[in-house]
Amino acid sequence: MIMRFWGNARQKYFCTIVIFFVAIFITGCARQPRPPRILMLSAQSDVSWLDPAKAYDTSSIPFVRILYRGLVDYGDGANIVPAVAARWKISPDGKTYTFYLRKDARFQFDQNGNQPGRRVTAEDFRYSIERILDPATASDGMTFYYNIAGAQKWSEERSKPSTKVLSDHVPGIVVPNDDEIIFHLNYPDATFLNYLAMPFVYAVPQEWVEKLDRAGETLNEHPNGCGPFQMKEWIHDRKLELVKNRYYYDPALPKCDRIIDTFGGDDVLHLMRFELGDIDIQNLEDAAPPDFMRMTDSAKWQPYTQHAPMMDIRYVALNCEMKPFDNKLVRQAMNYAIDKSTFTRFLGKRIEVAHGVLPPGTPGYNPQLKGYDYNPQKAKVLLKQAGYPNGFTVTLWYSPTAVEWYGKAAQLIQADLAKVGVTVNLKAVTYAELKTAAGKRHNIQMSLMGWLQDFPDPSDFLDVLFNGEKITDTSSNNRAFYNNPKVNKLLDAAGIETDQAKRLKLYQQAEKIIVDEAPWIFLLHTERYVVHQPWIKGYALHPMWSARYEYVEVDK
Amino acid sequence: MWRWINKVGRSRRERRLARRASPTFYIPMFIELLKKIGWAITTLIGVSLIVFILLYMLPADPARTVAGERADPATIAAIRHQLGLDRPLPVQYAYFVRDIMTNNLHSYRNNDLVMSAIWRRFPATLELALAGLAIWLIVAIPLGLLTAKYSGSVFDRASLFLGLIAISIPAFWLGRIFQHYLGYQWGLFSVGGGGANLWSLPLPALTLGFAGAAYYARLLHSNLGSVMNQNYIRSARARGVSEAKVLSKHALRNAIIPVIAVLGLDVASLLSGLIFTEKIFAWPGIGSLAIDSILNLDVPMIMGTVLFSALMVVVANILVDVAYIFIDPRLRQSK
Amino acid sequence: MAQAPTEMAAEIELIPAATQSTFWRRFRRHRLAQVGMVLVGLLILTALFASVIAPHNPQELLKTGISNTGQPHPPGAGFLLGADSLGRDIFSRVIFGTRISLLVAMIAMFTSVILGTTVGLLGGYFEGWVDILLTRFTESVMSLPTILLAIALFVVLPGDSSWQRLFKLLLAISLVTWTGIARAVRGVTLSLKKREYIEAARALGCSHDRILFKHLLPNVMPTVIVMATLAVAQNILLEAGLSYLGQGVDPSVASWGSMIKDGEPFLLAAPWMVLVPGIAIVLAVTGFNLLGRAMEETLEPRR
Repeated sequence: MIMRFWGNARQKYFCTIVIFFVAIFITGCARQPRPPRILMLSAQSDVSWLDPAKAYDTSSIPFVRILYRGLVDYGDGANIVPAVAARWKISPDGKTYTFYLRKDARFQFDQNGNQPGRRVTAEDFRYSIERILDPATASDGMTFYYNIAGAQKWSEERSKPSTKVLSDHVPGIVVPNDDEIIFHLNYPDATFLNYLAMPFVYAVPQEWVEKLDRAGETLNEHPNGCGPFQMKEWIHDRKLELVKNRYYYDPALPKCDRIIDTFGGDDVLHLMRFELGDIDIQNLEDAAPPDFMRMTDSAKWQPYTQHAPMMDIRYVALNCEMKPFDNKLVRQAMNYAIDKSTFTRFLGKRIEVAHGVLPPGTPGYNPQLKGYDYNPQKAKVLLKQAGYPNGFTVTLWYSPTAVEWYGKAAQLIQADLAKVGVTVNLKAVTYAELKTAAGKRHNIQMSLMGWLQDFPDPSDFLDVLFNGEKITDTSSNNRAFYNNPKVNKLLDAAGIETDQAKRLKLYQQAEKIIVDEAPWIFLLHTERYVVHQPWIKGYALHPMWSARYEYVEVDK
Repeated sequence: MWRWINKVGRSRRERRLARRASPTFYIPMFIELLKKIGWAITTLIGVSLIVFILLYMLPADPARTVAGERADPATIAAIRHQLGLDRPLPVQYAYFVRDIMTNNLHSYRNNDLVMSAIWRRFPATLELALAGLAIWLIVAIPLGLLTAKYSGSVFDRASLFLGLIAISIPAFWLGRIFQHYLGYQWGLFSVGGGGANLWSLPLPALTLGFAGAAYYARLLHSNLGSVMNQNYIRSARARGVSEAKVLSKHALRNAIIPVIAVLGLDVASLLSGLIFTEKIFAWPGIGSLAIDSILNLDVPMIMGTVLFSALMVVVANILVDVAYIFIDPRLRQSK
Repeated sequence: MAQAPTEMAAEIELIPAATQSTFWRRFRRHRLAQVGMVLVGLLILTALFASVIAPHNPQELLKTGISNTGQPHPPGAGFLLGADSLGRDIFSRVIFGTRISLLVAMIAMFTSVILGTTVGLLGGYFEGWVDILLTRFTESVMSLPTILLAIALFVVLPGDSSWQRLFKLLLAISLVTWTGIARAVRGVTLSLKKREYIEAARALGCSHDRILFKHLLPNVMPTVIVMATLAVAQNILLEAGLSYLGQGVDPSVASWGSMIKDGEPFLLAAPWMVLVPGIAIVLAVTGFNLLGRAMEETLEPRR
């Protein structure tokens, strides 16, 4: 064979090379065949948790909420509708909630892993809530349910192994029979139903969890809920596959048979794959402006684009307990120094400049709030007044991986502040590091962060982020460490006020003071833009859940 | 006279065959192999020490990352104790080695087992690495032979020049260009991201193989050049052995020795190229795992992936040494 | 990519002073060397006179750079090679990027040469357990993929200001690239030791220092110079790779690697953002590779 090779060496060589590459070309060209009625999704990184007690981020919640179900859920908007609880009643004083469960909700698997599992009872919900309250579970939602009578004490007893455990169950949760569950609250809370709609307290079968514990496994890897989908396979950092739960109590849902979510790749790759038809739904938050224009303006894709406000606020927290931001004039100067219109230039319709804290559409949003416009001259004057005529140097912490445009934003902020004499050092860290660092007291001066609403209420923004009493030494959500007794009083009063109109007025007063004192550089609110393939039907953006996959139909 | 020369050749061959039949022939090779494995283990120990010391200097506190945001100081202290972070350094190192061996190392991100995760992704990396290697050799060997044959011609000089340019191209740039133009705009190949299957293989393999092919072609060419002038080549030609056989049997065999030797050294650089390629094409292999873990400061995963890459390099070197012994007759006798 | 094979480097003949002029004459006539010198010369000139050549400040966000819809300005009026997504002039950025690349590559090269030569000389000269220890250490570091090690080093070292990042980058790159030099130098030292005049010097009672510095070091230099040139090429690629991953100098500072990263989402709408810095990297690295190869071929014994 080698002898023949040397007949016309050069031509033979090039022939072989060409044939080789043509072979590669042919195999590469063949499109991977696509089975029908599967929803193909893609994400840059793995889903963090499928355990409802731990899932608290946007990558996990859309999947946890279709694997599991709670007492209540959100309807088409921010309204609360029945889920496993068929109906409920609230006592006149607002402190007792009674839920009546439906009888046909079943878990997906029974003790031995066969389908279907047993019926979901009221006891399961008590177990789920107590699981959250148990410090051993290390759930982020533990403190959300302290309003239930005796819950906080129950939880604290268990965090100290030395105390004798006094009560078996939380006294505020009463389970008279399989179909009823009653909650007694410490004080009336209009948002209690919203807390019950969070995936933290979706029903989890106790014997399943205990069996997994004994076998050294976790609920995370072996979900067993009563939702419209069940898990088929989860290969970490590669893919997550969910299939239809045939025993789901609503026979009309889910509308597709399978969901496959592949992980990996960056945004550039995802957009390419979407345009080539490999992915069905693609969000456009991180798309480059020309791509964004193409998706939202071109005749080809525009009919399949949807948008809705994300109900968030993006900001730079200025640590009020550290120099130089302990001076209100300095903080105000920072706000005047930033030209937010540049953001509009490269993010376009995807953002709206923020004048205050609350995003438009939140109850209590104040459209009259003026905020700070771009005025570098005034910024310089204020700095001089504050005693920094030559500016100063600070470090801005940010996470370029949390949101794509944070990197550009940091550079823009650096450039704008340089123009008024402030030198900004950029420190790029991981999101986890940033949260840890920003939550620690007396640690960092500036951090670029965002806050998405948990539910549509001003308390979720103002009370959580600005109440001085909520400051903790190590994991404060009040990242500006802002503590104004007047504001604290307003917020606390609003917290127990039952009259909605009065409540909102109190929150508005608080917001006005907050904006004036400028513990943050108020940056933007974002608008979600999503595009889907023509063969996807029933996909709609939801104000609370990023997506409700049980309603999506795949016509392919 | 020709018959006399042929008779000499045959008896040499007979002697060679006789040598190979006896078992004592293989003993020195075996001893060499054992020595090399011993060296490899010391190298790995060295690597583990380096990795451990490096990561000990990390700024982030792993206990906090594991404990979660809302944990109080008491919980964090408990977790520090649980992770063994409050023990002296050598003890921590011992724990570390034990955890690696028993697959007890947990990632900070989602409590996944580090070694299992790495092992899960290894076949994908192997697939891609072999594909890249295949392109290296398939393009390089004939190219090297041809340029040696037509040494000095325009073809030769052009290939030299283009070869040098090829190894100067950064892998991440090339990968993106291929992905965007060949994959997305002209639709020739898959752009990647669909997992580690045959459909997604061509572009990443091409990216990997590109630079290496040029380099090895040149290497082979220069080695062939020096070999072709040796005496035994001239004597083989004089004996009337055909040109093809001269090239393939005698020259190639000897010229390929340094190529294989360098191949072993180059596994480390192959891995470097793999890292960018895997990231760009979302190939679920160890390279993208390594990069993601570093950028996420997932300490145990970093340790695991770095150690595993070192293991791959070391194993590749051993394999290369073994191949070396079989191919090069001069090394068969122990020194 | 790997450096020149160590076998080749070890065979490089010693050059007595008398033939150094012949070396230059042969080198100058070598085709590769000519192209290489032109490229490298251009690079160095660009780096030195960057502020003169570049029409704009590389970090300035120009209003005309991006349209109202965020589309970067294509190559043309006012922007010789186009603008990037924040409105900065690509041409100016590439010019200033030369500074970063060359600065980092050369300084890191010097550090790694010093480190590698020391390790190689000591190991090759003293042999015994010193050599074993040093070789094991070298091999351990060599088994780790360079880019991984460099990123890990950069991430681990503390420091956030511009200067600290630069320093970290230099340190990270030097600590990763010295191994090839060490190996080559050790090989040459081992073969040099067998020369008669070294044995004679030992017999005469010359101290180790004297032998190392006066006799061995000058004769190891040719190898070192070749490896150093190739190391510069490798360092430019490393620096580009690190800044591509965000682990390099400040992202607002113009570096070819981070420019490519910035331009990736714009490949369809503004391909110049990715193509221009990439071509710059290829030219720079090719220049040094050509020089290195040419040096190697001129130093090689005549066939």
